[in-house]
Amino acid sequence: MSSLLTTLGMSSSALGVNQTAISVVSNNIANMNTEGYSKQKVNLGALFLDIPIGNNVASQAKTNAGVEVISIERYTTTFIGSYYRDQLSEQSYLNKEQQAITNIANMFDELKGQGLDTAIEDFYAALDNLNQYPSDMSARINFLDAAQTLTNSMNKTASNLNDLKELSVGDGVSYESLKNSEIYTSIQAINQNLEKLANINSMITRSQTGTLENNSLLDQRDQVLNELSQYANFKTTIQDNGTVTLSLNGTKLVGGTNVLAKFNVQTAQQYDEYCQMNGIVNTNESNAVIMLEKTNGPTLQNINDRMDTGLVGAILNTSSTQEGVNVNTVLNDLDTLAQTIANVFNELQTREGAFYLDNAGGTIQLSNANLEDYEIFTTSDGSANITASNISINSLLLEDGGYNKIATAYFPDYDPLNPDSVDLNAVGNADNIIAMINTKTDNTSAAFDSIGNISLSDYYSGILGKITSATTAKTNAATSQNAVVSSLDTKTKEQTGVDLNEELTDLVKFQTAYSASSRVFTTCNTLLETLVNLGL
Amino acid sequence: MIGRVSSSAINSTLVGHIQNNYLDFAKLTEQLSTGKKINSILDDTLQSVNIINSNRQLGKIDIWSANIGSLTNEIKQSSETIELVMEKGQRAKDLATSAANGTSNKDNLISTLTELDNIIKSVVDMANTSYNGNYIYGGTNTKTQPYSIQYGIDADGNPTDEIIGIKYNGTAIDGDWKRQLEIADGVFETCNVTGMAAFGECDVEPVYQADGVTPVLDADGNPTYTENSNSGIMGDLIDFRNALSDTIKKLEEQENLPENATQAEKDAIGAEIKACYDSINGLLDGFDDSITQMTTVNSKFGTVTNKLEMSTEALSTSKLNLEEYISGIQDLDITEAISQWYTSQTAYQASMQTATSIMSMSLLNYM
Repeated sequence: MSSLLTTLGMSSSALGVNQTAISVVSNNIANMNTEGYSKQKVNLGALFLDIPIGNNVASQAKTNAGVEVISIERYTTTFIGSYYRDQLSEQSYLNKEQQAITNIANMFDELKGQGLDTAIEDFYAALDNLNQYPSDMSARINFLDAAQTLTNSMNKTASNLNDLKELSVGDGVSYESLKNSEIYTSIQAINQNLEKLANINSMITRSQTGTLENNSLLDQRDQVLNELSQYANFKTTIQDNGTVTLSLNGTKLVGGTNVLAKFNVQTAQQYDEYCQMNGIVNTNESNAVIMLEKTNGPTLQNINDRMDTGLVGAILNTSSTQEGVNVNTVLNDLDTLAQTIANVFNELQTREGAFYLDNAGGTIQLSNANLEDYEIFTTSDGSANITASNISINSLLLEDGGYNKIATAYFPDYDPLNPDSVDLNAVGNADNIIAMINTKTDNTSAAFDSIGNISLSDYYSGILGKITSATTAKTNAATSQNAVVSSLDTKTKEQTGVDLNEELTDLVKFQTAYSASSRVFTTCNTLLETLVNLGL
Repeated sequence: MIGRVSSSAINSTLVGHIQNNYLDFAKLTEQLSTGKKINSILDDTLQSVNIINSNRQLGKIDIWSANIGSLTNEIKQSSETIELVMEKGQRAKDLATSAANGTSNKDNLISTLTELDNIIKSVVDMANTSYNGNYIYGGTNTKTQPYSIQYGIDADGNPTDEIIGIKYNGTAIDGDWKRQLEIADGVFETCNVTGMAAFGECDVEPVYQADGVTPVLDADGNPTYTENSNSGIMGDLIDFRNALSDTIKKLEEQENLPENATQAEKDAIGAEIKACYDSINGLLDGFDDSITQMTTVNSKFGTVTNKLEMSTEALSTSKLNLEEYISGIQDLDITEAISQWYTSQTAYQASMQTATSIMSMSLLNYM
């Protein structure tokens, strides 16, 4: 026979257990909207006494000793873990790539009036008009205007592309510009998360000294790992004591309670100076160079090659010189286009037999020996190489009366030694302009070699086609990866998230148990009182 | 844990559905308000490139059509001018025919000369016609009048009003300077014929002594001239004028013969006058040749005009086709879009309605 006091003890343990259970329910409800929080569940166990009972029923009854909380367990799912983090990493990589190509595509949205197509076509339309009225001042000025619009559009597009690049990885020279770039912000965020992870590791070490787990810390740990995986696909190893070792390609970043290595980023110029000082061959092509500063050991100066996943990988890719469609390759294509335009038209403008008007707009003079003064396209910054950023109209042509320097006439039989081989009155001769118009269809000249002997429009269409097909491909990849992650997310939330109905049911369940236990307690109390009063 | 559902999972799924429906709805609304299926290259990257290429082609067709219009007008004007010159040439030939039969008296011939001078002046004016600020018969020398009348000088070297030549100032004395406009990719059509090819010239200069001012005089004390060139209707007109004025001079000499002139002298002058009539008669074939030359040039204009008409037709057909093609790709089927719009509106509303009712539902309502 078990004593009344034992029963009283049993009910009191039940009161305590249910109270704990209600507090867990309360914590679940409180955190039902906390990102990364996993539902916790109270595991109850029956208390018993380990005594010999033999054939004695009373002893058997004595083995019952009430209820206890064995553990508070958090719901986990197989979807949390390295597989999920791989997918997260891939998702942020693909989304960043898609965002980058979409930004470029928007700059070339011909259907919204962006891009160079109209400028190229207007340039040829102005040439056509000049062919009709070669000695007409307004046709000449109109042609120069169209040419200027073309160079301005190229400058504008190139500058927009460069801005995009600077936004991703800085301009490669100024540290200020690097500090405002996405790569810098990302590296800072990674470092903060590394600190956080080391901190969580040390708390876990302090807190989990036995077999029980600190559920909230583990939730936080998973959350930080998820966050980190978006920046790059780090390798994580969970130790037996619950701490995490984080490494990148074999280099430990966080181990135990310490951050073992931190990231930093330097400009291309800084890296170049480092290389020169140490006699290293600089093969870096990016504007930003990521470094890994080990706490105990030498700093790795350039780990761009290793950072090929996650957001950081995608940011580095948007401006890499490798094959693919990104800011750099599009800029290179535009530079080629600018060079070709300049070569084609400058060559015709200054070729032997090409003649322009004198300043009175009357007769035609011989081209001067200093041919550069008569080129249509030149650079705005004085450099020898024409690029999309610096292509501009020769300022001598934009001066007062400079429009007369456009060589409209062409005499194929021109002989410098024989003045009679040209007719100096042929102001209506537009054969040089006709040759320029013909560059729409005749692309055999050496000036077209750089773009594969196709027309300027076709080459530009090629650039557009590359951009649009890359946009389609990257959008598709990002969309399907988003679907993968979102389905994993939903599954995770379904399995580990807090469900209000479940909690309310638990609440009612434990409340009822609590009320019942307190009734048992009162009953026992009354019985004890009765017993105490027996002797009176 | 089989079939477990959590509030946060339901909530995020519901939000996702609402967003998808809203996106569809917004997309259709944009399409309906612009009337176009493809508003940005991001909408349909492949078809966008087709639209851009077709728009480019349309831009070219517009330019070519404008060029064809310009060509047609200039050629029409050139053709009308050449027909007028042919009429004048025919008239000059008629004058020559009647002058050559020897029945006209001196006064008749003098009035013929006056009419011929007027014909020469108006032919030169016609050959100097300009279109759009360009002299059409000047080759590529479009800013200088292609023809100028040359006048004679007297014994002292002072200019007189006697027409001695018609000089061509345009390009292409030897060569065929064309002005061309593009009418298709890389295809250029010529819009002009040089005055030299159509009308020729007769460039005559007085001969001066070494000082360049004093004329060299012939036996009769008249200034002498050199003829640098002579071709086409211009040459014929000057030849006719020279022959006519020679004839008039001889008739004057005949009139001024003294009373006592010998029969031999009378016969001599008669023979000279006869020779003059013969030389006028000899010019008639030249007139025919020059008119044929102009007819040939004019028929060339006709051929080009026909070709241009054909090109215009071809261009307007391909313009129509291209516009239809672009419209097929880009334009919205309004009926279909509106019904889709209503469907998506309903879906959007339904998703919001179910979301609110599901999210507000929990055991809490029954406790």
